Amino acid sequence: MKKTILVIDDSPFVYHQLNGMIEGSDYEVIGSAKSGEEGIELYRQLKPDVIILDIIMPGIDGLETAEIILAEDKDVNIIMLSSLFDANLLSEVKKMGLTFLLPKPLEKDVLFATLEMLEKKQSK
Amino acid sequence: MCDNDVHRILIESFISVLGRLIGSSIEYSAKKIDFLTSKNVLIRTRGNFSACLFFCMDSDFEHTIIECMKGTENGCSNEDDLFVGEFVNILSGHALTKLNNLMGSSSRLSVPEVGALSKGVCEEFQKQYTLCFKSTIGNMRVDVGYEYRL
Repeated sequence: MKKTILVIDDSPFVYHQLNGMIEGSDYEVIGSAKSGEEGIELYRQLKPDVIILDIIMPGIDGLETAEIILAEDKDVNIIMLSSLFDANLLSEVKKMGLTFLLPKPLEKDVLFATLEMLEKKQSK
Repeated sequence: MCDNDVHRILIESFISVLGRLIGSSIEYSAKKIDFLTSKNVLIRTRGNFSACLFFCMDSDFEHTIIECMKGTENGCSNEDDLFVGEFVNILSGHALTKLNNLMGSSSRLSVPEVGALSKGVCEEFQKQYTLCFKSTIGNMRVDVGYEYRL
């Protein structure tokens, strides 16, 4: 059975990119949300294996969205995504207990290496 | 860090990220470029590096960007502005990352406003200048207003 991904990003770019990258892999995108609010609702309905979550969004941003989802399920697998990825933001993401912050645009090798690390983390 | 460093970082970041996104080279032009019609996108930063960046791109450039980001040539869709906004977000984010890391600061980006009006948008800032870029796929101009505290 394929592992499932939920994309939360106000732009359709990542959704398009991701669908192309994971074609033929063990992953499938089962939902996409254009805001944090919509993303939280979809997460509750779909319970995906991985969430790919953009930080800069209108309304509640990716960090707040992650905080809300983590409060409901501390073991959820979240990959944060941002065009901005400086040392301060990375440390903010780490403080929340999240391990992965990937720069936009996504790169296939980096994405799959990250998914592999998440799998290893889960199997421990 | 001085103003020349800010200019250099913005120019280098824009050229490098553009090359990766569209797979085509673009060069900085010292000569100012004006457009009769253009797609405008405004993005702001807040924090130690406080700025507005007002992007104008001609229609050839805009269409190429959208096609490259969609990965198809499917014509226009109602999501096109979202792709243009994302393009500006990525360009600005990479430049601000470099500035933040150099300045040890934590400035943040706003959500891009596609279709923003141009008149005087960067005038609230003491430092203002214009960066122009030329390429075979079209041209882009970025009006920048900024101030920073170290």
